[in-house]
Amino acid sequence: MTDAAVPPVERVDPIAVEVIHHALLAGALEMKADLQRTAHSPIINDGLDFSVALFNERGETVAQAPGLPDFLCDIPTAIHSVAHDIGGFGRFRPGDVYLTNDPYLNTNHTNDVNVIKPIFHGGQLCGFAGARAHWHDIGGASGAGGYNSTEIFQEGLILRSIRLYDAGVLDVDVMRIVRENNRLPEAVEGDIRAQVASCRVGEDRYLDVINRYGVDVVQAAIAHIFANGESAALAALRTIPEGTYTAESCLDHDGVDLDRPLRVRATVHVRQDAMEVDLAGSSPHCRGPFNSNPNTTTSTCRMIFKMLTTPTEPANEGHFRPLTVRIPSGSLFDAHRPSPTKLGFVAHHTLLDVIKTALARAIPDRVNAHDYGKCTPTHTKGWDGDRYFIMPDTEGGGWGGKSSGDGMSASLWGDVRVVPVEVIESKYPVQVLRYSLRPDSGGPGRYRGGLGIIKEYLMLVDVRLNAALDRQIHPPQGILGGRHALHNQVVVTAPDGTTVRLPSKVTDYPIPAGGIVSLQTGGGGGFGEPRERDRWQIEADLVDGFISRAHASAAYGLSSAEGAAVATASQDPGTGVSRYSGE
Amino acid sequence: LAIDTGGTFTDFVLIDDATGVLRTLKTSSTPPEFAEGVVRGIDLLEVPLSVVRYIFHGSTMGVNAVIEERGERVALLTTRGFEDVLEIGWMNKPDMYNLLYSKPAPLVPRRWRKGVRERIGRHGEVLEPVDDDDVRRQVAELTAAGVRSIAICTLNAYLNPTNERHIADIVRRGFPDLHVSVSTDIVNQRREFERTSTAVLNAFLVPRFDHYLGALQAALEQRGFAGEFFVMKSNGGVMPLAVARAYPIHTLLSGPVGGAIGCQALGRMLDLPNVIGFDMGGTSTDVSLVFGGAPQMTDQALVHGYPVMGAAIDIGYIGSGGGSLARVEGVSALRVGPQSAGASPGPVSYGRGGGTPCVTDANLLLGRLDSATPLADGISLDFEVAAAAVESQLAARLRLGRDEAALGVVKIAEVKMAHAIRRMTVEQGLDPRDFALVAFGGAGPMHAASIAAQVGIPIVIVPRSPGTFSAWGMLNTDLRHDTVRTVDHAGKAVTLEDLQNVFGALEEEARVFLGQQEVGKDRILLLRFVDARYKGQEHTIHLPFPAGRIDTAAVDRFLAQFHALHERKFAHASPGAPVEVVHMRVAGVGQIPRQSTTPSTPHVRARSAPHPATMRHVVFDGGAGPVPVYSRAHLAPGTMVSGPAIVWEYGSTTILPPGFDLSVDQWENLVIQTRAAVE
Repeated sequence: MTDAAVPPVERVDPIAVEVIHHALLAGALEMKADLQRTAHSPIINDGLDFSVALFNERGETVAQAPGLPDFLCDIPTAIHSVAHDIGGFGRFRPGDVYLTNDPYLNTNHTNDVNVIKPIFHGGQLCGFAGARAHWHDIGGASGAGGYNSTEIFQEGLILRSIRLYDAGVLDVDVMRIVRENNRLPEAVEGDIRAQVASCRVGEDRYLDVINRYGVDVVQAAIAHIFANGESAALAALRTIPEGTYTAESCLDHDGVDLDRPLRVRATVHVRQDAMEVDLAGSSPHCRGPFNSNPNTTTSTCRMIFKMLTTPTEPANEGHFRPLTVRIPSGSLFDAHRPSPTKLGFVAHHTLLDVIKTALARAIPDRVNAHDYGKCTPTHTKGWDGDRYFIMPDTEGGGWGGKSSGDGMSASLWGDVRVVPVEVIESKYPVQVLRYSLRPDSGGPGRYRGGLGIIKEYLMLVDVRLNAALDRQIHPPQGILGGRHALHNQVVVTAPDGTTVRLPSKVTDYPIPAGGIVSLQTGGGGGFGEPRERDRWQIEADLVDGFISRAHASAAYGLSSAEGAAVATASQDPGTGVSRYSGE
Repeated sequence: LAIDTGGTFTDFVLIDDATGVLRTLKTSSTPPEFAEGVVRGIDLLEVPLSVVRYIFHGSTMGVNAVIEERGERVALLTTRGFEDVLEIGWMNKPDMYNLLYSKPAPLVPRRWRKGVRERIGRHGEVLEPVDDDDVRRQVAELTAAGVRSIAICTLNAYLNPTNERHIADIVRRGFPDLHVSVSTDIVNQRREFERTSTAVLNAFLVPRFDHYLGALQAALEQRGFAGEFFVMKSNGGVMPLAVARAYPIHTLLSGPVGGAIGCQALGRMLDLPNVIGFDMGGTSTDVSLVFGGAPQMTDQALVHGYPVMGAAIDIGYIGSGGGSLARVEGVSALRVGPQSAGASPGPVSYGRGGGTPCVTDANLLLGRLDSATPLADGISLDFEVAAAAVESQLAARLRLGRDEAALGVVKIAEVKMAHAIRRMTVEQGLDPRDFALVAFGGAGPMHAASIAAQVGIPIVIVPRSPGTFSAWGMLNTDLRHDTVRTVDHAGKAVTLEDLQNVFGALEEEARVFLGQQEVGKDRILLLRFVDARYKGQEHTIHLPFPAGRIDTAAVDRFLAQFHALHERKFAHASPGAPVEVVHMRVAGVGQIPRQSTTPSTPHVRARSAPHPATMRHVVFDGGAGPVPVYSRAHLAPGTMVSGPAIVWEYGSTTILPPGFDLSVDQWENLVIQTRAAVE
């Protein structure tokens, strides 16, 4: 869809192309700064659960600012589906702003709402600005979204191709529908305002560039930008040995059918000039909310492709031309109405682990072992006096070991920051008892996986907990001889002292005041054989308490006498081993 | 006397208060014993120290220590259960598509991070008092392991520092040889990771700075110095030497800050309240902003991946400078930076083994630099090798001429810097047309006119001795002590009474600190600031709070400013919506008495340019030809020069492109404007 209308690449001044490219990227970055600093939902301004970009007149991504890593050039489908619903690109008018969050076409789940603004120059449609962001709540059966839905209608409001501004005028009726169907109406209105303002900033910057260079030059430059992106991706692709690589892994279950694991299988065909990712062999679609649509699945495959080819360049459509994704119809990755989709993205993260495993023997120096069961959303909800609150917490864990060293400990997904304990305690009726690394959680290997964390909350009021920490039954795996890591888990201690380990997904689980919730994230898988690990590294890990003596013995074969010698020679190895991690 | 110690050079600027005569000197720095190089420079100045009233000192030594992680065995005492906060950090992965990324290792290894039994609750109440024996036992173990410096940071101490101070007392009494750094003594603000990181960095730097400043003080006293010694702080002020020995963390960014304060002082002199400082060096460029006469501040900086909390002048960093490398990627994408040739091997034209052409090489080919004139460090540039590299690596692959390719390299480097300046102005709701650009550093004056034109800045100023401008800036500083209190917690709204009480307490704190430095009451200036947001937002904006009586009228004025600033910064505002105050701040400034230090020629007569020292073939966008080259020493106040022209001086070259005019003002600054602006 890119060739015919494009002027010949040779005719464009390469210096002008680079200058225009920088100007458009700077515009996208400005959109990001505006959205991030004024949005109300913490999941947007701290969690960076958003995507902002500028598009050409055909809705292709020209410049995107980084948000979460898996959102890559994924707004175009939203633009195309709105265009389709309103009767074509010709029906957009200056000043229009559309909302759309169709979970079967253009978003992971209903919470992710796209705001789309067409850009006009001299009466002609010349591009789009788009800002998608995750609203903290969007109605539905459970505050912030539950993890046991069986149909989409439990997952909140669907806004398909809804015109929020009609030629520059806000439709207050639409705003009223959105507010009245939301548990946090003030926050959602604040978020919409921030998204629209972000698109206006993008529009201004896009028009600055067009006014300076003219539509024709900018369009030609964009074609050139795509061609450069494609060529960079191809050059990197040629360094991966040709072949067909396959691997699979499992998610625990879909939150509804608790005895049925979900299989994720990928076959990667690598050729000199193309990569195909085929998801045949993955589980069929499920009753619980683990389904996703082909568009967002493709976006995840793009992220993986980018990690393997052009990790440092700002993304545009050109980078992904060599990639094809095949999604078997009726599978987990081909959701159809009314299947629920709330947690479909969790399977996407498993897909990354699967593809890394598939390619480990081909490019061992360029992939790491499985990461902790990434994306571990929890929402603690209740009443603090007369104020309803939703406390979100998504914790990092250990990343897989790699040929250049141990995996990272306590790390999240992308450039996202965890909320500080002092901020949490100032906002919500909880006391944090402990926030520490989780000893022994890293998968053994020549380079071990990073460590997960333990965070313990004492609840000061009655609350209900939504938690989705997958990878409890199928822990993160090692590669090239490395061993698996300790899995995620949530343990609740009732006020009377009884403890219970929760299943891997719970929705509205009641915890009375005085109860303690212990979130424990998994480690990363190991890289290479544990027996090849340097002795001094094992000893250092013992001294620092990253591993216990029992673990040093079981995983690395250090005799208990040797372990005791190291421990006595040093000091008390810190906080000791978790109360819960020994089972 | 101002002394600016960098990793490579130490700059000296000496000014005579009575005559206004300025002397500058550059010597090599002498790591790791920096004091030696400083003393050597002072001896070279041949000025009896007994007549020097003030010494102002800034250094990048702290940053270098962090970058090289050459430090100390440092330990951390914290609340039991939170020993890993330092290692968990923000949990972010900035290099998000890099599967092999590793985050920076914590400055204190886990074995030396000790939890103490104690706890302050979410409302500031003492939930659990400190267990004294527990503290003594843990610290005894640490000293046995060779730890010399210890940081203390406990949870919620920003609400109530009782436990933190109690722990410090026990350590100081029981272990008098240990250096102790207490988090809330440095910065009393919410966010445990940032506060811990700040305290740990201080603990890491203390032994080194204590040694360095002690040695320097002794050497100066020996040479008869009896004046006052001030150390430059990241917040743009200075502190006395004795304070700096205990709080080196406040000096961490003091190098580039000298430039920002210089811009403020120059702006005051020229009656320009809004100034952008543009300091371009070999590998990077620092941008600072003075708006309404005050430098733009931030409350957090990142040093080599480690956060430092506390008021600091906001320095925008661009990883692009004269050494930024150019290459062709893909079909025909010309990329410049972020990789840099650095000082070694340096540009291709240095002939030290560099093979990839960079911005400096392009400038040489375009005639903006000259192979006949050696650079500040005595290096002569080799035109032929630079030409060959640009020809084969860039021009041939882009199917462009050599000069076109070189122009492209310069253009792209300038576009990147123009965008960085836009980010600091337009994105903050500031209009670049209201600013002047002050260009300094080795390469700043070479690109300033072109960048200013792209951003829409109407005027460029190249100060005297642009190479030592940061040190000159230090001569213009005052004592400054910043205090902060976090005031929103547990959903409680801030009342008028809270505003009065907290500002009262912060102002008293600042007054007491400055009083201890013997600043007279009439020389104390107290500035109020607030970080606020709309209820429900997470991020705050920083703005001044009206001086004088704190009443509903003052609050209304503040609110009106808040809505206006939000609109300007983010293109929307909600005047009816409730506003939350998160942090309250007071900056206490103790003015240092000084005479007006800059000479000026009272009656400046317009005069035309003198005969150029030489003519050189120079390439500009749109044409090439012979261009006059002037020596700056020959440009007297009042001189007018029309572009294209080049002004050369030791350590810097100013480029005046076609269409620009230059005049020399009464303080000998070069003032550059576009011809349209002049007419």
